Amino acid sequence: MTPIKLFAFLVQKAGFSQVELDLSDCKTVADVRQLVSKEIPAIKADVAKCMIAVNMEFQPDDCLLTDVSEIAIIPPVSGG
Amino acid sequence: MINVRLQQEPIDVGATYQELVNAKFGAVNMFVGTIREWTGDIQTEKIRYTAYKEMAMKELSKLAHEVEAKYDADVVVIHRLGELELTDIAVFIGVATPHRAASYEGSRFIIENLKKRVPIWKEEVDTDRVRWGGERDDAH
Repeated sequence: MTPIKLFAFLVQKAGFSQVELDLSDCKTVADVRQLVSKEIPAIKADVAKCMIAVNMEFQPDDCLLTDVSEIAIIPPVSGG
Repeated sequence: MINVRLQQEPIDVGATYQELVNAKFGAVNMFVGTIREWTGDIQTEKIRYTAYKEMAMKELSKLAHEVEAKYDADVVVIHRLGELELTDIAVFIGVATPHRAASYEGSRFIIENLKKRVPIWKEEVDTDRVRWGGERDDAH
């Protein structure tokens, strides 16, 4: 099981900031995006617009997963 | 020299300037981003900032190191977290370089990339409702 971290308004919509999901069937970041959309339907519409960080590094959808210790779902950032 | 931090406490511009004072530099560029009341017709009362702190520190450090390496600069980047009132300083970016052009370019590079890829979010308490940053285009 791998921790999936949520932030900002995703936490309000999902009702939690972290969940553990089984990523054994996920080969790429795109697969993770699809799994998160399915497992957390409250944020399904938002996940498509989020960036995904694997082990705290942003990764594109075609990135192959290896040694994943955590996934962060990053909504559009708005610092500054 | 690079100093990057996220903090709840107010940013002391005068004290932070002292971190950038060095005889090798002829330019110290300081950008101060503050809480604005009006954005078009929307009136803001306060803003709450949150972050994925560990990753935000990593991303800010990357930006600072890039500017340090490219311009032979000293860099200080501070972002506030928590609840901020109108006119409070949300972000401070200080870039000290031997000559002025590089200090402007380095500062601009950091703020523009901060707004694209550093995991910090604002929850804006406006007079009509609460808006999360990213809900509308804010290129100001």
